[in-house]
Amino acid sequence: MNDERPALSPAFRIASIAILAAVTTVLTRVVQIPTVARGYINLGDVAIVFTALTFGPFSAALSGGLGTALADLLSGPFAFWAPISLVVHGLQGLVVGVIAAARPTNIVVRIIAGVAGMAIVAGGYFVAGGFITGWGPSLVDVPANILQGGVGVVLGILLAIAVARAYPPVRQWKW
Amino acid sequence: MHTTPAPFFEARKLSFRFPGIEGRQGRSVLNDFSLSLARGSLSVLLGAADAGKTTFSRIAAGLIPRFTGGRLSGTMLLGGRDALTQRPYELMEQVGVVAQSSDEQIFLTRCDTEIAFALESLGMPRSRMHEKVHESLQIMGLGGFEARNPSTLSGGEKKRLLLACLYAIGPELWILDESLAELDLAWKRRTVALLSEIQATVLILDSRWQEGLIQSATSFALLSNGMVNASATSADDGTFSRALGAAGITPGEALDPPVIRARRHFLSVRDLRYTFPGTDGFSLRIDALDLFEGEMCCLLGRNGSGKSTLGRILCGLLRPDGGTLTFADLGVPAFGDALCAHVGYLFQNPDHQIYLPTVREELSLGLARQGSSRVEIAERVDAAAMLFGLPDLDEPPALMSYGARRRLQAATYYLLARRLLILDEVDSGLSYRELEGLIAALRKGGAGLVLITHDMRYARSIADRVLVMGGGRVIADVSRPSFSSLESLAPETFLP
Amino acid sequence: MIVDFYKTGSSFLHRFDPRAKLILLVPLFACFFFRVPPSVLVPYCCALIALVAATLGPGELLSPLKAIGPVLVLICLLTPPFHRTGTPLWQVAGVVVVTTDGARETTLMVLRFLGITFGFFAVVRTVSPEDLVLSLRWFRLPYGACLVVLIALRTIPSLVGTWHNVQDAHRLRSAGQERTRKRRLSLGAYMPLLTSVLIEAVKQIPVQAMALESRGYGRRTHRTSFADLPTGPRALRDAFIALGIAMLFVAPAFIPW
Repeated sequence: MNDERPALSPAFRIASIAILAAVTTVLTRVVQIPTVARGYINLGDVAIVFTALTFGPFSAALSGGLGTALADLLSGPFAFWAPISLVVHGLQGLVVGVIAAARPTNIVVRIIAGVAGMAIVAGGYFVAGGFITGWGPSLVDVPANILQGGVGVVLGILLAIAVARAYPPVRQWKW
Repeated sequence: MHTTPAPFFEARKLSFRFPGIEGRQGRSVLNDFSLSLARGSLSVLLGAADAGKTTFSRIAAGLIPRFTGGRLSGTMLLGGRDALTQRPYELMEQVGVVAQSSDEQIFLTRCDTEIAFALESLGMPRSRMHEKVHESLQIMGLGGFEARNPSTLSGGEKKRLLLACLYAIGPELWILDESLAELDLAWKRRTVALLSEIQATVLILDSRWQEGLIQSATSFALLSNGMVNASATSADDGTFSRALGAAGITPGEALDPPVIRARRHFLSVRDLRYTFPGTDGFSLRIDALDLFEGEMCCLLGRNGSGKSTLGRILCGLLRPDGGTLTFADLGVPAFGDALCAHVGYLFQNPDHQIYLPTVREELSLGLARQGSSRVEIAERVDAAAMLFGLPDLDEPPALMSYGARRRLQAATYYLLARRLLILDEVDSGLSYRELEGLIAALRKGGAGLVLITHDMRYARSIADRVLVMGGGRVIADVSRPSFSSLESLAPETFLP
Repeated sequence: MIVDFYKTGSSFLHRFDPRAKLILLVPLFACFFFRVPPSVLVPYCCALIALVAATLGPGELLSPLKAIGPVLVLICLLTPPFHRTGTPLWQVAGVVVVTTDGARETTLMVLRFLGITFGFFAVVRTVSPEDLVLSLRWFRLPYGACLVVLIALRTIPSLVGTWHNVQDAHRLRSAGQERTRKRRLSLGAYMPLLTSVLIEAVKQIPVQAMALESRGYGRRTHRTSFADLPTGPRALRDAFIALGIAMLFVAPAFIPW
């Protein structure tokens, strides 16, 4: 028998989305630098960019959306952001993953993908926030979201590279 | 004429190699491995930490090479039928495995739904499921735990939950992968008795020879170099015992009593007080404790007696509520980062500090900051790698075997030249020989060692000094010549 | 860190059917967006705040209020400048600061934010994670998705533990070397920590997948269900109550103000 490749069966996909969502939630809640309307800037974007680059767009969309939504629910007062986070970060994961998949290891493409994701997050929260708190307060948060997004792109790319080097089996888990 | 019945489980010449990465060949774990188990028998397969026991159990359950990739050859028959081509969910009623690490097999948030998950997969009707779940919890002593979140259970309770899950499914073959270690003696016995009652075929995998437990087993085998190298049908078989000793599964027979080396007073602990948060006033109270460089000390005690907490206070991770720690030779107080700089702590999980892509980088990490030249660093790294049995400096640590990662963890602290090292249950999953090798290597650096362990017999054979804790206090502090007094001072730490 | 958003209790809200509570979030949300005078929304807001105080205890009001306090301040400061129509209410040195329209918009926004916050807070704190998943299943979310949520919820606390252990391990290893004395780590210092945690997390994926398949996930036989939400008279009663409440929330939209 030849070398078999690992099977990315439904059980595998469920486990991967669940665990990556949990990673996203924990990174979102672990480092919190309080800002105003959104509550905090955090490392959730780092997790989503990492997932998109390592596991692909579907994993990132599902785990990113679920992870951030759970983080919002766990925060208590900011629970109402959960449905919004689900959509915004889900889209972010999808877009970053799809763009990066065009040239899987090209650093420039990865940066472009990350920045596109950043735009979605800043824009999405701005629009959603505009309805709930008014355009003024929502605008105040845009710089913080961009900063968070920027950190997410840089650390996310670095982590994708670092983890793939330190734990090579991860390279076979893209789907 | 008497004909022996066909074995229930039969593995014939199984060979497995993990997939290669980046041009390096994958690790070969099993090599012409053959084993057969009679129906309803209790068998024991012993092997050192990375001999391939877990890999074998996963092959038996259909999980390898399905989830890992790699190359598998050979035959495996279950009840006469070929089992290698079957999916894990098809095999679930024939083979059940309790993993070494409980967290791997727990994935829900309530004990009852955890057990019910498998029953739902089997399509059991709801009322029958409730009965079965209730029965399984009762029989493993977890009655009333239905709504409990498994993450709040103790190690032993989690193992019992996993055993309850298997009981509910009722597979024909039970494989317990180092799973009895976390249970206390009463439950070990009860589990073995229960398994013989339900007439399951049981295979116990272990890296230590546990006296007193294996009396009811009818077949023993030793796994080393990827195959069964010795077997026996009774626990008294002399040849087999010698093979076990040679493989390091039993403590070395001719252990030279360790020389009490020169020791230097390193740390003074006085009036230490620490109250555990969230418990009803359970606190650590140590009036006086002195620790020495160059001394090998074993710290024993029941789960919950405060051993790990004391360890964490001693290395500066945890701040005591009261009392003083002093560096004896300098006469200055010891706390926080200053303590961390001199006292190392090896976590039970060696992977918490592994993040670099090669062994060389992991070992060199702290040295660069000390200002040594590159040549010096390379020399020291090579010497440490040799000492700790890490021949391949370019291997990714995350892919190394458990024993190798443990040695890497120890080697990093050795290179950091900590004066005192606290080893938190690092003996779990290691054979005696590997543990002895590790400790000998660490002692070469002159550090004092505090090994937190459950194994009193082993402690007495290698330690210069034994500390026993109970209820947050030190109830025995005995140096080598007086070890015999331990039996009266701390009887509960002695396994019959 | 709160690892569970659910707070155990036995108030009527806790015992109210979780599906009804989740569905009610929709009209709750919508009602604060209707074009109605702010005075109409005041009783709704007060009712939601009172609900939280009554079912979870007055102490529970503190954390949401503290969290949203800054937002409310911002709303008050930044809404009037964008709504300058209507008669001026307050002028400073000839510059119009607040007009009637501005005041009305500000009040609306404040009430909207307060109402949505407390409404969601009340529901989220009284629905247990398992009930949440069961409700989603009842709403026809595929079983796989429900399983994902449950496994994620189970993994979060152990990952938090791993994170703390990784922090400790790295701290021990790098102690005694030149390091900044700052209490907060620089962002770059997070890299080794994050790498260790991610490797640990990612290694769990095939292992959990193994556990799932060993317990039968993937079998072709129809999967039965161990737990389910009640469907008896209580559920029906809660459904009617929910319908009534929903109508109350939606009613203001139909009245010509």
